[in-house]
Amino acid sequence: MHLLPILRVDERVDASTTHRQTSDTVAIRMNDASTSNAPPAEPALDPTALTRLERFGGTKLLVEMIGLFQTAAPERIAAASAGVDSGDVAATELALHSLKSSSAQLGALRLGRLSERGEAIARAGTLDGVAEIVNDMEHELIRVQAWLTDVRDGAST
Amino acid sequence: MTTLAVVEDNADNRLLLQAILSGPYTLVEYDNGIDALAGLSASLPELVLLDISLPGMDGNEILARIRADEKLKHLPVIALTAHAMSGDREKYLAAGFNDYVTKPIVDETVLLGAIEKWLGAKKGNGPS
Repeated sequence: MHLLPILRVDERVDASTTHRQTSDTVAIRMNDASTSNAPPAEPALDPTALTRLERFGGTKLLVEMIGLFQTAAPERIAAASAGVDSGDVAATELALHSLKSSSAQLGALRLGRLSERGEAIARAGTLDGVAEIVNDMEHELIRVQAWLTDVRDGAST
Repeated sequence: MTTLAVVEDNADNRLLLQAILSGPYTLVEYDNGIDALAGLSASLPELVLLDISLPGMDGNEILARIRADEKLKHLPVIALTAHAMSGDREKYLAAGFNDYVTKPIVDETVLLGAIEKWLGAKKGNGPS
């Protein structure tokens, strides 16, 4: 499995968005075609991260990494949410830190950025605004899971 | 074959390290500090890759215990971490880590280069 199937899959994930493809990333902008003065959106997903994993360990590694992420990511978001609810700054920071790294490794760039933002707040010793970030992460995870599922299924056939 | 210890709580990161490193090296994995310190003492590796953010005992505390242990204190220890803010590298080197490599791993030659550098230093060739 190589880059082209990944790009095709990503386009199918969210047909309501506009796409700007470069050789390195796929930028997904949420219905912002009418706001041409707005700065370009940062890419949400990076297919090159998946081709990199294939280079490190072939399709086997890619599929296994996706499987581990799909199990762990919801658990980490749940742990962050529980940490916010209980006021446990350290637990929230650890959960978001772990998810930041894993998301970036798999090309889930927006999820990684949200994790980093929440982690930075928690690292400063507060949880102000983290609940909203975690809520955004729950929604972003749906997109990421759908993308990775299609990649995994494509790689397995 | 040269043995490296990996102290990392996330299974995905351990899997990735196996994929990158298991050709030239044998990896011994630990997912927490208590097990790592016991394992390092029982079977000394050539080098340690140490995550910072770990549940319970974090990487800084594990490093401090390694440096305080007569048997372990000379081990090369590389911080492998997603803490990549400005100043983090200097902070971890000042704390006693021999080197610092950031996650996610984008260029595996950075990690391999750091490992080779400190394995070479251990053999008396000096870090390049």
